[in-house]
Amino acid sequence: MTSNMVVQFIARRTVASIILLVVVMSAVFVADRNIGDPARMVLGDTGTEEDLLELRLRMGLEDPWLVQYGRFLAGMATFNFGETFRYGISKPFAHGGLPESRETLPIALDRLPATFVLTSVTIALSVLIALPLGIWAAVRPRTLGDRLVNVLSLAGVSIVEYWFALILILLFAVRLDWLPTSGYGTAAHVILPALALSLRPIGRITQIVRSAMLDEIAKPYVTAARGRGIPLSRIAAIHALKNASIPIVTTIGDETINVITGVIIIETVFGWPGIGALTVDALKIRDVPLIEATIFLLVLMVLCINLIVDLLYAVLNPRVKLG
Amino acid sequence: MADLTTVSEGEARLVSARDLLRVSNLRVRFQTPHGDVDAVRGISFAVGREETVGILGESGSGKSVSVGAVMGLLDSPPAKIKGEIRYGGLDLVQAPIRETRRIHGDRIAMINQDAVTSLNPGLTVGYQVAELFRVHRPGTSRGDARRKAAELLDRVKIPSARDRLNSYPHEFSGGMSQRVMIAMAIALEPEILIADEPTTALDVTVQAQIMQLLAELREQTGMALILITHDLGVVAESVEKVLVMYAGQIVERGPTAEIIDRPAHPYTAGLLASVPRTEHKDRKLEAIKGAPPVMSAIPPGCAFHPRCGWCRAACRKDAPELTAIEKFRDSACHFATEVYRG
Ligand SMILES: Nc1ncnc2c1ncn2[C@@H]1O[C@H](COP(=O)(O)OP(=O)(O)OP(=O)(O)O)[C@@H](O)[C@H]1O
Ligand SMILES: [Mg+2]
Repeated sequence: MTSNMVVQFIARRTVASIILLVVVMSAVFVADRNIGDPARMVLGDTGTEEDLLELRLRMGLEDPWLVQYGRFLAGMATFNFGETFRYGISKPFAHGGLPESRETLPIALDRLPATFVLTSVTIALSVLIALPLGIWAAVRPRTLGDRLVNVLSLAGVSIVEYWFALILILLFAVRLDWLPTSGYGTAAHVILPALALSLRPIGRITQIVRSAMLDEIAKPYVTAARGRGIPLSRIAAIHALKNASIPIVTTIGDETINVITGVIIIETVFGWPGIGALTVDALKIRDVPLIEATIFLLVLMVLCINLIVDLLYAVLNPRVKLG
Repeated sequence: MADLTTVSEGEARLVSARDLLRVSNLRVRFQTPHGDVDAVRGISFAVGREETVGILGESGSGKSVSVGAVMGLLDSPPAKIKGEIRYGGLDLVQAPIRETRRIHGDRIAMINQDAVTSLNPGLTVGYQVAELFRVHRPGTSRGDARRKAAELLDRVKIPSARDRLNSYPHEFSGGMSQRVMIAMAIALEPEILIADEPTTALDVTVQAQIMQLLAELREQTGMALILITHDLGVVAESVEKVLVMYAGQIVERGPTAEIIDRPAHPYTAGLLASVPRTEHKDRKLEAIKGAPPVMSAIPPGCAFHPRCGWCRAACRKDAPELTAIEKFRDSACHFATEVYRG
């Protein structure tokens, strides 16, 4: 695989990703126009009809929807989703005065590091636990240990994240008082939300590692390697794992995406100042420009992960041609 | 580990001056959901230093299972192995895997018919060859292992060996893959090479090249050879001694030329009559009638009796033992001498 091919591949995938991004965001656009009048949400019970009209003009809501959509697309191309009149605005809109506003994308970008930390810790933790566990089970099929891993990973997949998060808070934060219930800043803060989010990926990745490794271990090249006196541990960790890596990487990618959706709730539960919590806040106050900016970033993250997974395929399997 | 190899080689010399490998009363039973399969039913043989032994027999007669037991490739369960496989003071049946894996791939190596699937598709050929040195000779540096790997590929006549180290198995043809397998088998200069139908999956022209290569390497290294094949022509050319297997047992053994010339078991005679041979051009070919038994329902008495022209009442009742009919000639047939005399 030449670097030229990699560049071409990334270019092709980027175009495809942009198309997908536009489609998804267009759906968000349509949904946003149907959750109630954003201008009315800003004003609340106060304000006259003139105030409302002025604000709607200012927000561009009086334009034909095609014009609004065009502006929305142009905004996406320039990473500008418009301004919010609500989020983080202390002075409420007042008749006659210039409405105070803030651009939304910087607000959303500010939250990205926190979400990135939580997602990375969760996935790193999951892989570090699931990979050895799955391999360990696969080299001793149908033994007690294997069955135990099987049952536990199934439980991990089946558990409801939100419920598990509450149990964790009750146990470790409230009852034992070992860890903070919520917040951000120290390593201790990340433990509970990461645990809550990692249970499902641990279960899922363990299952896939185990079954992919079982498939590989049954293949003739494993028998041949045993015949050459290669230790079973080495055969599993190097020979079989290399070939099992495609489904494993796929699953890790899928689970990372799941975690990114999962943070929307878990961040709110743990008061984690990430983009997930911001999305919920924006939805609560029907802050359309802010909703659009946060969802745009979330979708962008998902597309990046898909691109990374596809690139890894080509690295891991010598027979895969990028295309 | 180097020390251990020396010790076991020393012990091997103490155990016997000539026999490298001695298989005694080997039995292999597979416990399957559909009942027990007795794949190997008490076979004994020995392989001496530099000796070449062929194993002949129809499909399902237990040839691969026998050498699989020698190579420690039979998983238990489902396989239950009884008897003894002695190599260098070690019983390969009983010894723990951490001891037997020093023998396998190092002192006793094997190639089989599925060269293409026996190579790991995800690792470069160079890595797989070099790995042998890294595992069996732990002192070997990365660079040394690679250099040796290149030498080996060169030795098995893979063109531009050094460049091919970075190739993946799917870039190799069947014949080239088999050359790689051979390179790995001879890498640590084994005393015994087991070749289980090494050319069955290959084109006819390539078959001859591979047999030629094996013969040359054997000449150079003096390793003993256990060759499993269906090809009587190959047997005649490449091995001094033949074991004929039927339904998990050895039914006849002796020097190759003598057996081909004068078989002492009706089954061997049938095998010989079913292949074209240059010295008997006028004789017509006959396949052995019937089919080999299902290994979970072996006939009582002599397992071959339902297909045998010599079959008498005794054959249906008593299983004949492998007994000497002449010096170095053994046959397991009630009428061995009659068959032998023709
Ligand atoms: N893992 C297994 N489980 C159950 N039965 C098995 C297993 N491996 C082999 N057998 C059975 O053992 C018997 C002997 O098989 P083996 O592979 O040794 O035959 P073979 O002489 O090598 O034949 P071929 O010439 O086709 O290679 C066969 O009946 C086969 O079905
Ligand atoms: Mg076989």
